[in-house]
Amino acid sequence: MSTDNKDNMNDNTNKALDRAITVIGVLAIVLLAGALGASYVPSVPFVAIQAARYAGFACIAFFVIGSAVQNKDFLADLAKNRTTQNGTKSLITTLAILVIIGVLNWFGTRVHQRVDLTANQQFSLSEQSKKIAKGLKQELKLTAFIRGGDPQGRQLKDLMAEYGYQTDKLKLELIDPDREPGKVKLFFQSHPSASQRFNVLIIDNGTKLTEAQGVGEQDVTAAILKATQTQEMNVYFLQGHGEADMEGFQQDGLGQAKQALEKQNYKVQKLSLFETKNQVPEDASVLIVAGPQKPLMPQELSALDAYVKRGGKLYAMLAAGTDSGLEGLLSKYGITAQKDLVVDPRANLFGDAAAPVIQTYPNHAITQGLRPTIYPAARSLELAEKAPTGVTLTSLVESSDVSFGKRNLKDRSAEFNPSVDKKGPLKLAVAAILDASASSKPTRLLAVGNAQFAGNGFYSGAGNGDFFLNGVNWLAEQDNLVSIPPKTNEPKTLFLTGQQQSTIFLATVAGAPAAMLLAGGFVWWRRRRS
Amino acid sequence: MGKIWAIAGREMRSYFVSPLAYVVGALFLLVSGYLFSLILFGSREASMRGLFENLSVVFLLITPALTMRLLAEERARGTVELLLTAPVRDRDIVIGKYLAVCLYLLFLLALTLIYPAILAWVGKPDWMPILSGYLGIFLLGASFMAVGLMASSWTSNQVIAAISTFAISLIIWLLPASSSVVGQQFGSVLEYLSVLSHQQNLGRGIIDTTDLVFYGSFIVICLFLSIRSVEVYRWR
Repeated sequence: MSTDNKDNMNDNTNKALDRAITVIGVLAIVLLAGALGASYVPSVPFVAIQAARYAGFACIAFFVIGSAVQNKDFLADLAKNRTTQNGTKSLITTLAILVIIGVLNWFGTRVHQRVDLTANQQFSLSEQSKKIAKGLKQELKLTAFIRGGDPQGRQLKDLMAEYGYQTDKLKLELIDPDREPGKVKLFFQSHPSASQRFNVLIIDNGTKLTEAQGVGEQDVTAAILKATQTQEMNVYFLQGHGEADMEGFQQDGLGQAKQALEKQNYKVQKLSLFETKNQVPEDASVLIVAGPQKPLMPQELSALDAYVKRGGKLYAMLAAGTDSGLEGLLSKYGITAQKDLVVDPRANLFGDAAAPVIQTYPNHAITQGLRPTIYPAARSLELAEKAPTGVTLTSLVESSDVSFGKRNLKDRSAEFNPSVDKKGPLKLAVAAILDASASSKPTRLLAVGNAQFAGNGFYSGAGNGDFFLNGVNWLAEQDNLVSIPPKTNEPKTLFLTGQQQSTIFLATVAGAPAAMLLAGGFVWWRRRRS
Repeated sequence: MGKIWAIAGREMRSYFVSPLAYVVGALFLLVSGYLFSLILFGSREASMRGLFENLSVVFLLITPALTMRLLAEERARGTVELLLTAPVRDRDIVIGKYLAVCLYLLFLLALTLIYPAILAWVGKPDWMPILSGYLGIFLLGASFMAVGLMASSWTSNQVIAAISTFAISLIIWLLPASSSVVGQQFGSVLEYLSVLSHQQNLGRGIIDTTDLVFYGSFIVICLFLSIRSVEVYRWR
C-alpha cells in the first residue's frame, strides 16, 4: 500500500476509501455472479441479465481505478523507480515477453495437434466430414435457432468446434429466439425463404439457403455439401424387369438406399427405357440396375451399351439364378458372371451358408475402413486372365478360402462337390475403370453378383449401406464422399441399486470429509502434545 | 532449484501443521462429493465430465482463500524483508510459493481419486478422458492459483488480494459472454482468453496443444508479473 508517513496523514480518509473500494469489489462479484446464475434460469428477462452484467463491469472498473488511486505511490514507483535504467530495461523485457507469448499463442491456435482419447473417438469427425471441411473453398454462414439450455444447441456447438479445427470457412451463429427476438426478425427479413423452425441449421452460401435436417454430423455434413455443390447429380434406377423396388420398405426394397442417396444430395429417379424410347437420359450421373429378374430386351441392352460408350456410369447388380442379359455387356469388359451360388460354410450369417459374410477387403477407395458386409444369395464374378485393353479391373469383395461356387442349384445341400463346384475365394464385386478409346469415352463400372445386399433387410445393420453408397459415390466421381467409418456409441449407462446409491452418497458426502477432519485433528493433537 | 524447494517446503509445512489444509480439504471433499453424487445419480453415466465442469466453479471460489496470504502476509508482517535480504532471488521466492500452492492443489485432486474408484466399482468408465480431465482441472486450478499469487504480490492487504483474485478470475471466466457484444474478430480473441473453454476440451477427453499452450502462457505471464512486482517492492 502507501508509504508510512502518508498513512499517518490521511489515515481515516484512506481507511474509508479502502472500505468503499472493497464494498464495490464485492458488489461487482455479486452482480456478475448473479448475472451468470440468472442466465441459466429461463424466466429471467435477458435485459435484466444484461443490465446486471454491465453494472458489474462498471463496478469492476471503479474497483480497479479506485485501487489504483489508493496505491498511486506504488504505481508511481513502478513508472519512475529509483534505478531508472533498471526500470526502463525491466519495462522493455516485460513488453517483450508479453509480445513473445502473444505470438506463441497466435501460432498455437493455427498450428496444433489434437488427440481424441475417448474409447470410440466420440468427438472426432468422420474422415468424410474432415475431407469435405478441408476442401471448402467458399465461406459459408451457418445460422441456427436454438433455445438456451437446449442440449441440441450444445451438440451443434461441439460439432461446429470440430469443423472449426478443419476449416475457417464456416461461420456459425447460434440465435436464442427467446433472448434475441430482434435478431430472429432481422434474419427472416433478409432471408424470407427460410423455414421458421427451431433446431434447424440454415446454411447461406451467398446465393441460396440450404437447411440441414438435424444437428447430427451426418445431417450437417450433407447440408454443407449441398450448399457448396453447384451441379445436380442424378441417379436413375432401371425399371421394368422385376428389379428391386426403389421406394419399397420391405425386406428386399431399396427405400433406405434411396433415402441415403437423397441425403447425399443425389436426385433419385426411376428410368423406364420403354418410355424414353431406349435412351438413357443425358443428365444421368449413375444408372443402377438392381437385380433384374427378367431378361432385358435387345434394344434396351444396346441402349445401355451406348450409354457406357458415351461415358455413362453403370452400377450392375446381378441376381443369382437369373439371366438378365447384362452378363453379355459385362463380359466385353472382362467380367464374367458365373451361374452359381456362393456358399460359405464358415463365415456366414446365422448359419445360412448361402449368405456369406465378408470381413476383409482388397485395398480400394470403396472398401476402405468398411465394416463386414453380407451378400445373401450371391453369384460370383470371374475376371478375364488378361483384361481387355484400356480396362482396369479391381476385385472389391472376395469370399473366404473355404467358400465355393455351387453350380448345381437344384441340390439344396451345402456340401462342396469338387467335380462340379468352383473352389473359393470367389469375387463378389468388381470395379472397372475404362480408359478412352476410339469407340468410347472414359468411364467407370461397378458389378456386384448380388442385389439383395442393398435391400432394407441388410442396409443398416452391417457395412452394406456404406458399401452401396461408397460405390455410387465412386461411380459419380464424388470421391470426397467415400469412406464413412462406423461410429458406435456404446451405452455407458449405469444401473445403481438403492443400496449402492446410499453407500456412494454417504461415503462421498460424509465419510471422506469426516476422515479428512479426523486426520487434521490427529495432527493438531500430536503437535499440542509435543 | 534447491532454494525453490526450500521455500516450497516451508510453505507446505505451514499448510499441514495448521488445521487449514485439513479444513479446506474436508470442505472441498464435502462440496465435490455432493456434486459427484448428484451428477452421478442424475446422469447415470460412468464419466467425470460433469464433475470436472462443476469443480472449476469450486476452484474459482476457494482459490482466493488459498492464495491471498502467499505474499501479502509476508509484506504485512514485514517478513518479506527477511526473505528479500536472504540470498535468494525474487524468482525463487515466487516460484517456490507457487510450487507449494500447486502441490496443495494436487493434494486436493488426489483426495478426489475416490470418485473414479467408485465409478470403477459400479461401472466401466472410459479411463483416458478421466485422465485428461484431471489434467484439465489441474491446469485450470493452477491458472487460478497463478492469478491469486499475482494479486497477492500487489498488496499487503489480504482482503484486497482475495477480492482482486476473485474479480480477475471471474472476468476471465465471463469473457466469452461478452464476445457477442464486441464483434466477431475481437470476440474470438475474448473467447480464446477464457480459462474455462480450454478446460472443456480436456474434460471430454480431447487433448489439444492449443489448450496446453494457453494454460502454459497464462501461468507464465502471471508468475512473471508477480516476480516483477516483488522486484519493484525491493527497489522501494
